[in-house]
Amino acid sequence: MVTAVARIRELETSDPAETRELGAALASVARPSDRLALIGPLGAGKTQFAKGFARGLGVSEVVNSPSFTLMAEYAGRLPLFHLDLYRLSGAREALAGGMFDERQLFGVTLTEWADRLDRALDPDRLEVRFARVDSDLRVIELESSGERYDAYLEAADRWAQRRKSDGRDLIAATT
Amino acid sequence: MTSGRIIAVETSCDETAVAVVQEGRRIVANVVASQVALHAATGGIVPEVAARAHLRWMIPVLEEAERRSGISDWSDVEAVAVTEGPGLAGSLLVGITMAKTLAYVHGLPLVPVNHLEGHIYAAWLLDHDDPDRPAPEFPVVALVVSGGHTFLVEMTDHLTYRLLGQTVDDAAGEAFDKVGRLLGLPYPGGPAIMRAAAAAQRRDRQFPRAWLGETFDFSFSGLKTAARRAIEAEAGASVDGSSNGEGPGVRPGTRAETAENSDGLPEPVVAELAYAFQESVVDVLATKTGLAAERCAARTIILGGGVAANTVLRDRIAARAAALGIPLVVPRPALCTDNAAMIGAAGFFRTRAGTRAPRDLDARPSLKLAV
Repeated sequence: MVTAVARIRELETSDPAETRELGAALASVARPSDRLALIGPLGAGKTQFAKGFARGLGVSEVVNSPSFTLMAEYAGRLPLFHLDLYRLSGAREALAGGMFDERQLFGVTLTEWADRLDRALDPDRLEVRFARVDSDLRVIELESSGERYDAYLEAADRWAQRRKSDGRDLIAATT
Repeated sequence: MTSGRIIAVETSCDETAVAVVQEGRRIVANVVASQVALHAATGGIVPEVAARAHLRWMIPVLEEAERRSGISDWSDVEAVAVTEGPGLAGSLLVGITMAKTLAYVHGLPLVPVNHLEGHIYAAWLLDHDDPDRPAPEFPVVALVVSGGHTFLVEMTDHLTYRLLGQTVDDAAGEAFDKVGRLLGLPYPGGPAIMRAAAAAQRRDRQFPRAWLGETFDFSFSGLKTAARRAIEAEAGASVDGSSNGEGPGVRPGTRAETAENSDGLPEPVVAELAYAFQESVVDVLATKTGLAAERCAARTIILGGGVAANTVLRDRIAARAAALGIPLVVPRPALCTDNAAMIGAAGFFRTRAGTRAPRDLDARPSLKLAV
């Protein structure tokens, strides 16, 4: 319990650009075979986060929602696999549909709607949970499943610190 | 052999399809094993169902295409065309393996086709009983709109693509589907929204339009969010549960959108919201397509992809084309959704241009049309 709490961070972004910026900041610590689970309702910023993360990995292509195509792949500093389980009803479909493959060991995998998956299938991951506070403001909670993902929490702390020293947290709070 | 007769295989997403096309235009046979009924039960494409169904249907669909086209001895087939991407790797591989086998067994060239160019080349197709009509004249401006793709492209000649713009977030068909779900409409969302919108009494509600400056890019995620907010406001309650008691300090929820539609909305309100949403999508698509055609001095506009079945979109783009004095070509609905005839059409021009696949052709899930 204590470790679980210690491995959670709560952040705030005041617009889609900041959500992308946070994604880019986290991408700076990405290593091969990392998995990030992006969880939250429609329009909460999952795809924005993925766009920023891709940019942070050096992907130059346009990253858009893979809801229909289910999986998109991009070449960056590391290969990026962008999955979206929106249209799936569960783990069985994701497995049989080839949503997991060994190539993902060599890159980073972002999975939108990862909550549609049985947690046991994907136990080791950074969970990124999105909540809409109002039309632009988002609360984004990061939870590391273990040491492997703690670098992301540290990157998030650094990002939040920068945001604070720029006074952007106050701007967000008053607007 | 230069018979101009191409056999084509398409399995990039949820349709198992084989077609035989003559000279890139005349459909000799076009067989599609559609899985829409299976998908409707679950509200989307299910890759487990898709991958298994491709295996289940591949041979029967091939045999039916052979039977209908009378190509049983294969002596007058010039090449085997196959979709190499984009799409789901597992699904693509079923078709690619089938096509490789056919090419090998019958000693025919194997010709890779981009699924997206197929959607454009559907405009070249003629049914067996259609009268001859001239092929689309270049330059062509094509708008392809589907669940997975939304882009505008210029073609100055065969197989020559310049990307003018594309969606930077959601595809138009995806926006239709997601908003359809929020409105409590059945899958697929596109036809359901069109039907609901047609009944709208109130037509003065405005949803935002993302013009993205002077570009030909599209964005529908802001519209999706606006629609969601309007639906929530009408429902007077949260749509997904996690936004209950919205306000500072709300904790991120981990739950999925379990109750993601607003069953309680009265029909006239659903119709009004569907109308406003559709207008916003159609307005942006039609306006940008018209501007692109003007800018490129296009002599033909082509509309392809599953969303082309939306008659409001077709009418609006037809009006733009008429104003420019150029024809709009929209394939009939069954040729706008995924099929192999369109792969056979593009495959013919690729065959004649000398495009050949290596024997170790692999699926290219993220293949682009142009950059």
